[in-house]
Amino acid sequence: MARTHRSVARHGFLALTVGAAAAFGGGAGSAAGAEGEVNVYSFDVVTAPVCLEGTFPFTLTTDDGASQGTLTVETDAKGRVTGTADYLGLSFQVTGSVKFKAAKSTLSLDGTSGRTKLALDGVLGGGPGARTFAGGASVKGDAALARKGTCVIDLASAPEQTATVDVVLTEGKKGKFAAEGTAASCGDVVALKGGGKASKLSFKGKSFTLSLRQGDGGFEWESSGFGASASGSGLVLDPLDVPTEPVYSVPVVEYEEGDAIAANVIVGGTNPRGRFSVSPGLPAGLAIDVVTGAITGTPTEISPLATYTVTASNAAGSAAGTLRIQTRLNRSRSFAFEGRTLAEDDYRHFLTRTRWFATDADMAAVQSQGVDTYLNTMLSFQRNTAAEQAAAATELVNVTDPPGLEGKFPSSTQVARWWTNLMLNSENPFKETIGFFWHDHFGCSTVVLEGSNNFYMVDHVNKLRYGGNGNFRQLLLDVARDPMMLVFLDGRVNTRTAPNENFAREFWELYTLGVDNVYTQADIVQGAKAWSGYRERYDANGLGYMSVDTNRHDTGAKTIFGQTIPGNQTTDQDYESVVDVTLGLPGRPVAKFITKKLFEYYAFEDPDQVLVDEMADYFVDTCQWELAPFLRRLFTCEAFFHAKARRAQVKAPVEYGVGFIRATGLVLRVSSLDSLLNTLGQRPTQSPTVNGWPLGELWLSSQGLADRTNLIYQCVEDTTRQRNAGIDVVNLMPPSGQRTAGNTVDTLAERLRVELTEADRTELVEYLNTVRNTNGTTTNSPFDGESQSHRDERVRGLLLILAQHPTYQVR
Amino acid sequence: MSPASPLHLPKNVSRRDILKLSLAGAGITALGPLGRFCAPASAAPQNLKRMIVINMFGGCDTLNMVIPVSLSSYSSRRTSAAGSVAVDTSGVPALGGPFATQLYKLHPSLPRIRALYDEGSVAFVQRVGYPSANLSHFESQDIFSTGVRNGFGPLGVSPSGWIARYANDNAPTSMGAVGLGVGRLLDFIGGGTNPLLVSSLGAFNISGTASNSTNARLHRSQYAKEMIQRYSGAGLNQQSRDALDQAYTLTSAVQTALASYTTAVSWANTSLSQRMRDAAVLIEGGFETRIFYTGYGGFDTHSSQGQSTGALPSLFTQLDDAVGAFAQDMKNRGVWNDIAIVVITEFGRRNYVNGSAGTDHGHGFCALVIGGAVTGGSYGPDLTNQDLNAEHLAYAVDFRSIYKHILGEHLAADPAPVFPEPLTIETNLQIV
Repeated sequence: MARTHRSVARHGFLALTVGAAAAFGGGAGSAAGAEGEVNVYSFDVVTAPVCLEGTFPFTLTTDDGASQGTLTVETDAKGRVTGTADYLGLSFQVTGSVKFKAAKSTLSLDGTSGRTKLALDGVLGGGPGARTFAGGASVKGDAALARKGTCVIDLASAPEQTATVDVVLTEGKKGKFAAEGTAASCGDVVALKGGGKASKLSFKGKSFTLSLRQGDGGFEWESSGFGASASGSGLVLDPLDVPTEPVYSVPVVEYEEGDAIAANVIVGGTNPRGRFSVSPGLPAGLAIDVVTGAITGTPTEISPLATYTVTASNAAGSAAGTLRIQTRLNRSRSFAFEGRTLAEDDYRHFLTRTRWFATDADMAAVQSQGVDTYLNTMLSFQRNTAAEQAAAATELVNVTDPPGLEGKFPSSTQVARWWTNLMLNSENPFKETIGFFWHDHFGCSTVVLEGSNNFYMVDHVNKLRYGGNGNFRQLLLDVARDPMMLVFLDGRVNTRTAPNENFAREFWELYTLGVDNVYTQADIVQGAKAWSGYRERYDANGLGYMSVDTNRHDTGAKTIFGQTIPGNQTTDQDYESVVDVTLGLPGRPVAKFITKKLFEYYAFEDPDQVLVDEMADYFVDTCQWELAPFLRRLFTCEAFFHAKARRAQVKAPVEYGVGFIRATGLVLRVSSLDSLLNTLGQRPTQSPTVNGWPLGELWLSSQGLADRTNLIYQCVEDTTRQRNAGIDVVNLMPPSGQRTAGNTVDTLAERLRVELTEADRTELVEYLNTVRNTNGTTTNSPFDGESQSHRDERVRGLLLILAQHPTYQVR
Repeated sequence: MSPASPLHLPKNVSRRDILKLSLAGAGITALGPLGRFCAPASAAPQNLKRMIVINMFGGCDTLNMVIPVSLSSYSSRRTSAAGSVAVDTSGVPALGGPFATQLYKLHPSLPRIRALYDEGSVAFVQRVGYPSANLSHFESQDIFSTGVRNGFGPLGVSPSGWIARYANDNAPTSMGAVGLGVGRLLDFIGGGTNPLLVSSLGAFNISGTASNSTNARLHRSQYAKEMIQRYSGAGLNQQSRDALDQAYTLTSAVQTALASYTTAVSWANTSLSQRMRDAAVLIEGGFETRIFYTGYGGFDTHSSQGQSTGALPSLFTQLDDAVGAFAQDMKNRGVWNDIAIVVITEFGRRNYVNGSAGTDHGHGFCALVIGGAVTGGSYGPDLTNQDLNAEHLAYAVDFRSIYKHILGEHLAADPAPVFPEPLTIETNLQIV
């Protein structure tokens, strides 16, 4: 960018030619005196401190003893002090003056508070920045307070202020110079005028004067103003350099509206005593710091990529630079496909959010295929897989089961272990996380089941697992007619003559609309009639099932949300009618409710309404209530990968435990894991409420954290059995030959996505390289990554420590 | 049948707001309070007043707990061809002692509480509730937990639970208020302190940290502890760190108290009795806990509720065992007079039996206040046939009147900042 020399007055400076600049300040000034240019000189006149600003404690010592007070004051350009003094519980409005002089500065203040008067009078001493005050003080007024004594103010925090003078000198006739400029200090700016001969100059303003006389080693000077008199010598007047092109740390940048930006600062170019301006105006919400040129703020509008010219200018001239800024829709509110190239942590984020863990093989697969292709497999749910057959055979079958009915008579514990087994072994872990989402959503529990019907929960869970990527309308119907739900929320006893509102209420409050949203008690009464008719029966094998008893169904017309469901429909027709009326509510409250909940489970809480609305429209218009295409978009949209979705949720116990085991391979017996999850308060198949489990933050109790540690403890303590089964922590370590303590710490931390600080890393390397003695001391014992015993003791111990890292509690 | 619900933790908007606010103070949560929990002493401190809340989660049919035997509508409303929930009290002794009454009897499954009544240590408060009853378990529990009916906005107070506010002002240590077996109940959330919330004291330990563990285990737990203490982060990371740090510190202190507790009392093997035993352990251990909160579920008796025996009576037996054993243990230690137990539920049930031999969600209920500090008897308006002929028991005493009274008169705390919302009905109770 071109440097331009100013020829127009700015900030009140006159722009006139100067022909004899060389007269000033010796060689330094001689370079700048070309015809047609403005010559600008500036210098700092140091008269510290020239203003008393801040809060200072003082002690008033009298015959009664000492009492503390504080003084909060500021000083104007004339040395007038105003502020408050707080003393003995009273707040005095004080005024007075301060006079700074080299040898003896004085402070004099008077204040009143009600009928009480306070006077402080004394001497300021000590060097710049460490001044003290000593003097007399008196309090008059209420008898209880009246006192007179010695006042000591500690001014150690007194600011060291300088007066800064900027002048433009222009040569007139007969070797005389005229000058205009400013003096500034303490936030006050005083306009100066003056001039004189080259050897003798003076500048005056309303409350500041400065005179200079040429001496051998520069000017001698005297100033008066801002409450201070000062003098010095050896002052050199330097010509002010013209600014050079400002260069920004990030010359081309894309910001997201709504997020505070990282300050874009100037890293190149100079602008002595200058100001910065920008043209055209920055996108709304962004601002340029006129002194530093830094651009900060929070963009509030979307604007296309555009070039902005930033001009650095001072009294000597200006220079311009450019930067390019775009503000775009905040990624956290964008349901658009994430088109950028994903980084390794993006892939790890994708896998750990959707599947709770990421092994090396998983990472390799998703990185080679890309997320979109990877989703083809992830979103197509196979049934009756090898893992499902094995889990059913291992966990559900009892020796007493009649032939042909194997697995139909499990205990509630067996059912819980069955799903836990699946979570540990499922070929498609996403099927389990989405199943668990719906389990949390339709929170049912085996605790309400009669012992013989625990298989209801197996069928229920499979509906959620298989239907987790299916049609949402179908899922609602399947769940409503599901024996587990008909037991859990009393549908099996909801009859024409004795309607039961339990399911009707929760269907809207928890499953489709959200609490107190749209529905009323009248709708619940009508809904209960529509949901009536199912009853529980038992077959010849003693297995329960649900079927419609037409005598129990209320066949009258029902009015829900102002819409009439005609009379004489069958139970199943009524079920479909209620679902369809609900899904068809104007404003799409169901789609908003459910897409927001899915988003919150997989990304972050409280998404912007703009995003929720877009997701709801997409789910209805494009996906036609099909979950698979919606989930595909959810897992590839910009908001899913936004920073808000990182370290944004506390892991629930199941995710924490299952995630650790599958990431490390350090399996527990299913029975042990089931017991630990029960202790941790999140046993699959036993939702504590119809509303599922608590939110993430609620898991952070001291007991919960202790028990998480206990879960990992069992995983790492299971050395022998795991090793006999071919499971060894060596599989998690760096390749043979590279198994140093440092490499081992780094590799395991990365695999668990733990963010170690440098201090953490140092300490954990030390952990691997030491052993503890019985008396509590430690001894050096270099880590050998090839040693089985070191791996079994130290690397497993390291995993237990890493799993306790605060960043491992959060996903 | 409906779910037995040990936890009632709704996931709604107001809950989220509270959580956010609780995060804001997370940085100061654990460090200050943690260093200041009271070390166990050899015996329970005398004259340290305690409040214990027992919540009957699910909405208890208290008409079958404190039974209005003199009202004809009681049995008529509770009997139907499809089933009955009326309790036959013909064989049940009348309520005697200094506050003898012919109007009510306690359910036959509550003999030990009846004995405490006869000693003058049981008060019951009729028609407890709050304005505009909400029939959702979760909403109603939220109102009990926050102590606020009409939202925090008009109050200028950050969303928080009432115990959180109490602890902030009056007992700002991790042991000042303790939740036993109630998860992270909203009552405790949203303050600057981090109260101890445990499922049970016995389960509150960390494997491999006991002093007799192997050197390898002690080695790694030492490095884990130091890593946690050293950690400094933001947001949830820091909140996790605080909870971990607290886990290490408190498990050690609590296990010491548990190991040194001895008692002459026989505690039932039910969750409620065991949690009340835990409270006794902490009292005997010298912890200066002012509020204990525990509870148990199963009261959502929409069907097959039972009469003299059955689902609900078995829950009453659990309450009776727990309160009876606790009272005896406290008497043995000479601190029964320091105790006030408040028994609540999120709402009462309908006055009449439904079609499934159960009762549906209702409004007002009868609260119990039990303890050596209590002046027994009947509080609140006596029930009438007209009350029972209505759909619900209309509320006449705000539950916050009970809490405020106990806080002010028993715990010597200022109840105003704990319950900042003006009450529509303010009842001047003199229970303690």
